[in-house]
Amino acid sequence: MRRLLLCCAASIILHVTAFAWVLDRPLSLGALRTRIEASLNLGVAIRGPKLVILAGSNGPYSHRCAVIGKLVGVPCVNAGIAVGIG
Amino acid sequence: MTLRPTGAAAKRGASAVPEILICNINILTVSQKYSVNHPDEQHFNQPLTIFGVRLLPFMMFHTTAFVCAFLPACLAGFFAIGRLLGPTPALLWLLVASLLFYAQWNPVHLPLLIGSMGANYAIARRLTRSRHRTAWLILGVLLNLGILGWFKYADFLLHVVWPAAPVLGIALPLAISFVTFQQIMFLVDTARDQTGPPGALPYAAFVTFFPHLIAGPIVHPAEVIPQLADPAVARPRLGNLSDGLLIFLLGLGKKLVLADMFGGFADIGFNAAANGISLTFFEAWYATLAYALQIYFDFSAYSDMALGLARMLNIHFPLNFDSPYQATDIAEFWRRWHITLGTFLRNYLYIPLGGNRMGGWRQSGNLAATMLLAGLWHGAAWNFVLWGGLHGAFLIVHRLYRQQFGPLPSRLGQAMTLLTVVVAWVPFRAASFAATQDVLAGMAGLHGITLPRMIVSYLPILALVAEPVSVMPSLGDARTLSMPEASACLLLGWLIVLTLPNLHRMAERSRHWALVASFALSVQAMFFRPHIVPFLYFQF
Repeated sequence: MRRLLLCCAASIILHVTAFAWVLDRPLSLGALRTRIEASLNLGVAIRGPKLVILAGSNGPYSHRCAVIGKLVGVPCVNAGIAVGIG
Repeated sequence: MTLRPTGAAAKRGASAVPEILICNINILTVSQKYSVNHPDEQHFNQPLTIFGVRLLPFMMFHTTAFVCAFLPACLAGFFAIGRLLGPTPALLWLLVASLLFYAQWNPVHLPLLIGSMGANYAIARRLTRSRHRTAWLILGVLLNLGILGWFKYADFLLHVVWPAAPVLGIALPLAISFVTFQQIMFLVDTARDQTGPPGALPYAAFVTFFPHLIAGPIVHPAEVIPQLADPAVARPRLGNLSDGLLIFLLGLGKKLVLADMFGGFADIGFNAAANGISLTFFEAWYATLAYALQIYFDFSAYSDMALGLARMLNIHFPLNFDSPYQATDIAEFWRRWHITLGTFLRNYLYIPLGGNRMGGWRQSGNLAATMLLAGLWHGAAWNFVLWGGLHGAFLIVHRLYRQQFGPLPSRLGQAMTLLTVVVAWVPFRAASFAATQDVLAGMAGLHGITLPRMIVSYLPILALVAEPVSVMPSLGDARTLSMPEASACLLLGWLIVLTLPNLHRMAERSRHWALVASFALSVQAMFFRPHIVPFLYFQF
C-alpha cells in the first residue's frame, strides 16, 4: 500500500513539474504569444478611447475592425485569438 | 478591465490600455461539444428526484461521486460492520450499498431487479425439492428470457413482423442482459448440482454485487457465492486492498485517459456517417481504428475496475479480458475478449446445441447460431445481428481452413484476425446500415482519398494518390494538425495493445510504473473533464 501511495504522489509531482516547467511553454514562445503581443502593441499605439475585440476563433475570422471601427467611430483593435492554430 | 502590455511593449514601458471590450465567447459551440449530460448518460440515467432535487449523485466507476464518496463509504462500512457485528450484517450492508448503486440510475427498475431475484431464488428452491426438476428449470429459464425479451427485444421483434407498428417505448432496465445470464446460470447450476441453493443473503449479494452488476463480468455463481458466504469475507486484508486499488486505478487511467480520448476521434467520424456525410479513405479508417481502440480500452478498463473493486472486498473474479488483439486467430480472439461471456455462451448455448460433436455442418450451424445470438445479446438491432453473423462466418471459415491447411503463421494470422475484427466493428458502432455502408465504402476508398494540404506540401509525392484539402472535416477537430495529432494517438494506442502485456500479466514493478504514468492524468480527467462518458458496455 505504501508503494502504491508513493507511486500516486510521484505521478502528481511529475505531472505538476512537467506542466509547470516543460510542457506549458508554447503560449509564451509560439505564434499565439506573438499574436497577443502584436495586438497589445497596436492597442498601446492608439491613444485615447478604443474598441478592443476579445474573443476566441470568432474574433479574427468574423469581425473586421476596418468595418466596425468606422461604424462606431472609434479606433478598433481585433485581439481575438484562434487557439486552433491549424 | 485593462490589458497590460507584455514583451516588447512592456520593455518600452507602455502603460495599461483603457478600452471598450467586445467579449465574444462562442457559447453555442462550447455547449454543443461539451454537454454536461452526455446523450448516453441521459438514456439510462433517470434519477430519483424530489421537487427536482436529485437525491443521489450520478455514479459510475469513474465518477468523482463513486471514487471519492461511495467506494470509501462502502469499504469502510463493510469492514467496520464485519469487525463489530460479524459477516452477515456486513453482507447485508454490501447488499444495501449495491441496491443503492443500482437505484441511483433509475429507481423505477429496482423492484424488477428485486422481484426477479426473489422469483429465481424461489424457483431454485423448488427445483431442488421437486420431482419435476426439468419443468421448474424450463420455467425459470423462460421467465428470465421472457423478462429480457420484453424489455430488450419487444420493440425490435414487433417491428420485424409489423414494420408500421407504433413504437412501444419500453425503457431498458440497466444491467438486465447481465443479470438475466447470471440468474440462468444459477438455475442451471442448481439443477445440475443438486446440492440446493445457497442462503438467500449470499445469493442476493452475489446478483447485486455492484462491481459486476451493471456490465459483468458474468461470473459463475459457484465461484463467487462461496467467497461471499465465507465468514472471513468482511475481514480487511491489506494485500487484497492494495492489489485491488492498484488494478482499479490502472483501469481508471485506461478509461479516462485512453478510451475517452479514442472515443472522441471515433465519434466524430461515425456521427458524420450517421448524418449522411461521406467519409473519405483516411477519415473512415481513422474513425474505425479509433473505435477499435476505444472499445478495447473501455471494456478492458471496466473489467479491470470491476476486478479491482471485487478484490478490495476480498472477492476474486476471473480474468475477463486478456489482450485479445494479440490473438493469432479468431477462435483465440474469442477466448480472450469478454472471456466470461464467451464461457457462458459456450457452456450454456453452444455445447447444449451439440457443440462440435455432431459433425461439420452441424458444428458450423451451432457456431453461427451462437454468434448471431451473441450479436443480438449486445443490442436489439440488425447492426448487432450483422456483427454477430460476421464473427460466426469468421469462426466457420477459420475452422474449415484450419482443418484443410493447418494454422497460418502466427504474424500473418494475427494480422488477418485484427483486420477482420476491426472491419467487423463498423456495423457494431455505426448508427444504421446506411452509415455502415458509408464507412465501409470510405475504407475501400470509394469516396476518394484526401489529405491536408500542409502534409502534401511537405511530401508532394502524396499528391499522386490523395487530393490536397484545407482540412478533413470528419477527422478529429477538423484542423490541419488534426491528422498528425490523431496519427500520433492511434500509433500510441496500437503500440500499447499490440506490444505490451496487459496489467494482469505485467510484473509488479511495471504495474507501479504504469500507475506513475497514468494516475495524475486520471485525476485531471476525472475532476476537469467536460462531460462523463459512460462505459460502452453499459448499453448492453
